[in-house]
Amino acid sequence: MTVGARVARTVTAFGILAGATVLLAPLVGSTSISLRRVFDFSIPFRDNADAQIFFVARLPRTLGGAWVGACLASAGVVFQGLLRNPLATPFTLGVSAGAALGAMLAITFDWSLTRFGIPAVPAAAFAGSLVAVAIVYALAQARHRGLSTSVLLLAGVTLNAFLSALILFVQYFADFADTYRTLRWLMGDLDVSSYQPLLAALPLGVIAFAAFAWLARPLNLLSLGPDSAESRGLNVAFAQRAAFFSASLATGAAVSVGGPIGFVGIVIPHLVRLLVGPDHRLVLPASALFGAAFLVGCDLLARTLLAPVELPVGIITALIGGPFFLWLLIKKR
Amino acid sequence: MLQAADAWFSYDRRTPVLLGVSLDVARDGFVGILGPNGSGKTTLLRLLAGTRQPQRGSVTLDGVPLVRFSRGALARRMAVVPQETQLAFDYTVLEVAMMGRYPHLGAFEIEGPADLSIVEDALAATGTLPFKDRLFATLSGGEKQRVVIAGALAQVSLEDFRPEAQETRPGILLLDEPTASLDLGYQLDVAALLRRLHDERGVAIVVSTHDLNLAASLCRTLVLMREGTVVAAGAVEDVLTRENVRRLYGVEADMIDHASGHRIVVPVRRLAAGDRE
Repeated sequence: MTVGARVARTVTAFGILAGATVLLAPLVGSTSISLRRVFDFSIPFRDNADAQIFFVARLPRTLGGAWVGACLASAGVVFQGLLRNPLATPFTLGVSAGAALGAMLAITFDWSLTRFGIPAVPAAAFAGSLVAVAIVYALAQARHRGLSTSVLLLAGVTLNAFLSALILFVQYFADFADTYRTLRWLMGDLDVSSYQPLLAALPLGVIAFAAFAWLARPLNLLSLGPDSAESRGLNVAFAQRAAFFSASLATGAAVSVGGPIGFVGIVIPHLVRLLVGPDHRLVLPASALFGAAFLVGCDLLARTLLAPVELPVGIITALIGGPFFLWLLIKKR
Repeated sequence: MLQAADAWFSYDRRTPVLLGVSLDVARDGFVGILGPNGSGKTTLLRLLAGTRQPQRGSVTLDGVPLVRFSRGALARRMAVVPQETQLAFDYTVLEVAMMGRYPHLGAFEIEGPADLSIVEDALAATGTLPFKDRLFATLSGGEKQRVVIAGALAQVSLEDFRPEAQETRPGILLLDEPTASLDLGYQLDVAALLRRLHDERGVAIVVSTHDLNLAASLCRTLVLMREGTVVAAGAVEDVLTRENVRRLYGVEADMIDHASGHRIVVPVRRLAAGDRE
């Protein structure tokens, strides 16, 4: 089968999975609603309680989960390809720590300014991720060509540790309620109650995913190593920068909506590679769609497992992702 | 066809690695680059491939400086085979060889049947078609090297199979110590493969190697390098002499002209530093 046919088949299969999850997840909750009534357009919207619950109360959160899952999973694929390291995650290079510090500052010092309809915490988180990205990039930019992947990794890991220390430092000045909010944020939580944060993140996502579409083949070549990729006609320096910035953008956009939700960016790419092989033209779209379905599913569990208590979704992804990842490691032997 | 003229290069702009190297690869050339470690062989190959640019002097293809070519245009003419290839992910043999078609495709284009037949033809030419669906990582060193050479061959192959087309625009393979990590049997496999590609497909070949006997049996011309300069260059029998081996490696060697028509170098002993010149 040609690559084109395989891409079409993969996108269809994972697209159906993601679409079904997004459509069915809002049906489950404290009040059960019926899909038929939701899409029964003969009833006016204001009289249709099922449709109101579906579209106003639950769909934003479901779409938020799908969006964050798609961003984190595909950013994970791109970082793994860029760093030529299957253990890389969207958070390896310090993007999430920068976002966490931003969110933390906004919570602790009660920044309440709202610009362009975006509340302060996500905006501060996104700004924090950009600062972290800029620092790592400045450090890793080799003098002559390309990005040094070893410096990228070292700088990212060090920045993660340093920013975590800063977070604790700021935490020291926070009162009890702020500390609790920060902790909830750090666990990763999809408490999206309107379409606004999604619409604000959408342009970033469009840019990042357009870059991912172009990056699929360059990432295949990069896995040969930079010299071999260059001699096959790839502008390695450009491809590395595009990968770094687009994946950082997607990560920042996802973290600003849902906090640093762990394991999606590493478990999903690995699972997808087991299913469709390593070709990034298949892995990238499949991971985005599967990541969306996975996070929506995890959020469904988080909402319903101990209802009416809502667990942060980051706990569920870690509880599922951690053991799964260990199983992957053992299975590879 | 591919020419370096008085090329200077330094990675850090302080310690020069190449000090005015000149070299000429003819249309049907088979050039061996010999020299001790650190003599600049790999750097010279990078300059010839256009992945690095000389700071002084020039490298030209058909008289046109390499910098005037787009990356893609250069990659369609020249392919590089490194000493070893390690993949970050588990690609199959076919997928690895197919990566050679990258410069022939547009940004969002997917390889078509013509590309597939070129790649399968290249795999067949290197004897690796039977395991095209195996994972690259599971192959032996010699098999991997043949697959990478197949990818390089696919990279410089035109969709136009007519002999006239190949003649006006022969591909060039640049190989950096392609046999260094292989055992004797695989070394001979790769050598035979290179000879076949040169003789039957008209591919010009530049190969750097430490194996003097391999170079003597394969190449038509040799370039001997030491400390970033060319010590000697020319036909194998003129260049591969006792004096040159002594100057290059500080090793006393005997030369035997073997019944096969190839010159055999037998290293005898390493000379003390003072005796080399």
